[in-house]
Amino acid sequence: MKRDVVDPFGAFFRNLLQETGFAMVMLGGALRSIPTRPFPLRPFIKQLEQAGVRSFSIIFLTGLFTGMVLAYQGAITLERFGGKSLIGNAITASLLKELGPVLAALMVAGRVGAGYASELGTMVVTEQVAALRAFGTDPRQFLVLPRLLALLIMLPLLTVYANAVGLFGGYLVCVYSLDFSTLYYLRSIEESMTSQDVIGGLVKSFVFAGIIATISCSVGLNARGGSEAVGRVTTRAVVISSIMVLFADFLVTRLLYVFQ
Amino acid sequence: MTAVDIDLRNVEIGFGGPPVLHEFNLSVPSSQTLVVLGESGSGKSTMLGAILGLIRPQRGEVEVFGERVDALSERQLHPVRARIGMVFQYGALFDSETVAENVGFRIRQQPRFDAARFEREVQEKLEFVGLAEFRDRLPGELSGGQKKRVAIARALVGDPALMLYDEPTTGLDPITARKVLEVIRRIREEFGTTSIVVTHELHYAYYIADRVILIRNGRVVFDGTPEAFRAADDPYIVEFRSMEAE
Repeated sequence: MKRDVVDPFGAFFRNLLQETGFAMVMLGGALRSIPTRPFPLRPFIKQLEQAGVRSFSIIFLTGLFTGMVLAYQGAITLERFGGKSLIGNAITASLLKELGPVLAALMVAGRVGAGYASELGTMVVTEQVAALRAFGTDPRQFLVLPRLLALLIMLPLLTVYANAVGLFGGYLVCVYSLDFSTLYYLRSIEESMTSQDVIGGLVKSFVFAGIIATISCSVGLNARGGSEAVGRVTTRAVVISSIMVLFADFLVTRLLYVFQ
Repeated sequence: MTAVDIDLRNVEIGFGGPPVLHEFNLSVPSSQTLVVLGESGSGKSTMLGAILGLIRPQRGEVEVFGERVDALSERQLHPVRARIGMVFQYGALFDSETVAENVGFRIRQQPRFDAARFEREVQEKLEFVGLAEFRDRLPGELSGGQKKRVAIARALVGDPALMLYDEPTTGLDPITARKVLEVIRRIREEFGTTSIVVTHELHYAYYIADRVILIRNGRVVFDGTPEAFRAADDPYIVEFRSMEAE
């Protein structure tokens, strides 16, 4: 304890290493359990609904307002350089490559990741996880795997949805406020949208999904203590997931740039 | 010679601080109901965790049905755990599953789901604990005593040879607690199941125990019959009895 006070960074990195190690072992165990029967189908379907269907409204609002703000900001900036006509291209590129995947992931980290951590944390402190083990069920297969797979499927879909709604938000501003014609806006989107941007965005969202599910489940399963521990791990899961999403965004963008 | 179901030898378990169990030795023969007494934090629940293989000792050996559970992997532990029914302190029922789904959880987790066996065992075990009509309720809709009884029904699926109970009567009123104890007694009488009951409620211990041990600071400080415990004049035991009587 004394050493931790003197050397807080040492303690921080030690904890980080420990937690990363636990998360990796957990992830490995969950992936290795894929062939094990029975596959937890019911929890998986439930998680598809929890992670996906129930996130639609928050993703809709996020995408819509992002698209609208992008249109206004883009118009103001581009007008200075006489490039207001490129507004459709600016919205498309910003949304598909960057803001769609990142904002959808951050929203999902706050909604779904927090849910994973608090649910699993509660199960730990009420001994439900111990009960699973006592009944010969691997919590990594029964609890982690359905959540991981559900998010790997749903976050890319939510990202596509966020992109589509964002483009619609941009359309509303461009057509009804900035006096572009519908045809002009649609054509500028069509011209600027490349398959590389779409695929790049989906690759990002797939990576983000893995990060959010792994961190949130791992932090939740590490809850120790009573109900206050559940609150602690929930906050922790959101903070770490969000930071890791932003960090991974930089790495994946760099990698995609190299491959392009 | 009586078969021994559980054998803990020189077990030491700690969680960073002073050891919770220290040079802990315990042998439990088949069909015995052992009541484990001790203050909060004395190591009672840790001992149950070690028997189930949920907690690994730093030193010593834990043998259950002749298998060294402290040396087995999670996968290797499955057949041993299949012979053990565990009732957790607060029931540990799965919140999102109905009573029937909780009770039949073990059957649903088999590689091939046997629907007929599921129905039969769930009905049989719920009838045994007197809660057959609650099968479609969620745990949140049950009282504390009902949750404990559902947890017992769930632990009984597969007819385990060993039942472990962690504080089965804590937080229950005397009448509900008596109902839970009746169920524990009937399990022993009807199935001859070996039982370990962890509690700090002495009067309930006298009601069900064949044998009583008292744990203090991670060691067994008394081991004998309930009558011998009642008559013991060791100052700590006298104090423990008097505290419980208050």
